[in-house]
Amino acid sequence: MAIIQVKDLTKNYDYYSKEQGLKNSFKNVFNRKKLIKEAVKSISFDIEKGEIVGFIGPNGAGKTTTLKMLSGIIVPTGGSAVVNGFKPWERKKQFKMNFSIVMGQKTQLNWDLPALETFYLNKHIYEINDTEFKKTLDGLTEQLDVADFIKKQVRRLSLGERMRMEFIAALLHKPKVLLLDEPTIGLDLISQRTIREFIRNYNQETGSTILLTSHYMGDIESLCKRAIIINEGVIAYDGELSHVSDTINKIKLIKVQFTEKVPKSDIEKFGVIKEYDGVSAVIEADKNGLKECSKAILDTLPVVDFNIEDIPIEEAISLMYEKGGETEE
Amino acid sequence: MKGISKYTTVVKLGIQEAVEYRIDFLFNMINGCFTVFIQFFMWTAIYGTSENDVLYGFSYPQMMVYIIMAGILANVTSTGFEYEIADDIREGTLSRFLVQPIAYFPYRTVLFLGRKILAFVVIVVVSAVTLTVLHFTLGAEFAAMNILLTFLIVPLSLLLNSVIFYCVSMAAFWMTRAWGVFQGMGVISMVLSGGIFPLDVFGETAKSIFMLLPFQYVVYFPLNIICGNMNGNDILFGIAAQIFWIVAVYGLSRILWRLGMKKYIAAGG
Repeated sequence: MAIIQVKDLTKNYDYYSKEQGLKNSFKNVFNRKKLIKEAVKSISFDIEKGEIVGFIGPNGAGKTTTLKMLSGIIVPTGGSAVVNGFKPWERKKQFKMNFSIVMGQKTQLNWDLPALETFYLNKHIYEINDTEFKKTLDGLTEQLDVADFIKKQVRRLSLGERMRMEFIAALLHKPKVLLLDEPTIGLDLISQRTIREFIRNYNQETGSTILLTSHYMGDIESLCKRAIIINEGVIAYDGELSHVSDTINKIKLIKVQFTEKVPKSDIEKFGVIKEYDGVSAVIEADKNGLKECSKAILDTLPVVDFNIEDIPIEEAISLMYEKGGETEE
Repeated sequence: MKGISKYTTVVKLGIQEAVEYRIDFLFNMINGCFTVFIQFFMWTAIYGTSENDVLYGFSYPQMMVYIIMAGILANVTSTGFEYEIADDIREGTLSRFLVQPIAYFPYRTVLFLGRKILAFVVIVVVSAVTLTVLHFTLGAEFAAMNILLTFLIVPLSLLLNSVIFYCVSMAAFWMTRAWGVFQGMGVISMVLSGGIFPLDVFGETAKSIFMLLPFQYVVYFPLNIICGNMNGNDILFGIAAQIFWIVAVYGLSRILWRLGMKKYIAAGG
């Protein structure tokens, strides 16, 4: 049986809208317009034990809302979810003892004290015995290479160092289910890689189930075989990640800046122009001819700056939709 | 026993935080002294020009004992965690406590008590010195039994004030910025608890209303014991009322918490 089962899960938020301006601020005091936002609309999926699944989607697609429901932080408006045999929002102790979530933008560490103090607190919260605690802590600090920082006040740690501490704090009790919400956000490449490698090893060694959201396709590509794409609260795709990466990688964006004005006609032959303002341009190019294309641009045009980027996730999703009819059976 | 160990760890965390921010603690003490100084000069002037030796039921030495001890007690019972709770709610850091097997209210209370242990020790020493000085300079009289009793009651006062302000913090579920509420409540509880001057100063009618509220059990009640204005029965009744209020306000906080959780959206992301 799948360790995470989600069926028709829905979450609506109430919010208030306000027109721009002072006058409308006063109007709002007496008469607020209440609106409902459907953050997650009846999504369903299953995740098997030991899987690492990438949960992808643009900002505001409902990724974090879904993770919050699966961790029991918020109660869904409708539908059901069973994680490790429990309804998360009932917040049973047995559920919590085998569960953990790491949020890149949140901290569970006490900022005024060294991370080690939070680890000790978690040791007691999760009722971990001394030998087990020491073994796990030593293992984690070694893998994440943070032995030097665990006694330093958290406030004084760099983001990369702090994120690694968050992982230790979250994993001391060896959760069977681990949710990661943007765990590498804002990190430099080296820290990103350390964390990625760590997640992969952790999954292989412990057989824990991991659901991961990230803005960096790199994270997802290096960790997950399966991806779930969510867009505007509905699941747009659920299946092999390779399909997604193929689509995303098929087209690359070349961003160039020129020393002088270059006529549009000179650029058009390299690919579809997405943006153009005379001295800079964004060109969509096929991956297969990328090398030749780049070379030709660099050789023939007066380039000062040159970048190759992935297409944004939003666009990849609409691309997947376009070709959806032919590839999905 | 394992369930207890998580909270003893939190107490230790609280003590460590207090040690980490000892300078802040020192300045808090100094701030408290200023209010007491102002009061000292004010009351000295009032008693000096008055024809009566006893005002509002307090002799001059008794009043000195009251205002100095009130300054100390208001300081030791003041919470400040309401701002942290509001931050937890607003920024979504509260989520941690929903995901981990630890309850928020005991965590906050125990952390607060831990932070206060150091202050409590300092304050016992300061009070002992103050009372001795007052005894020899002004001839203030104390029954040793009363002083002992007060220091058994002060922890209850601390607990009562912490549940009151825990309740007040719940405002943050409904208001994104609840600072105004906290500051207002800070002033109200300071005055109504007798933390500035004895409630008798407000006149009989006001006093009889204030006596029905929980605040007076934080400062006014324990200080009346020290000043020797209470007999055995009054004291027993007071302790019972203190415990009653702790339970009642705690109950209220649970209700507010449950209502608040429905509003909680774990902001961010």
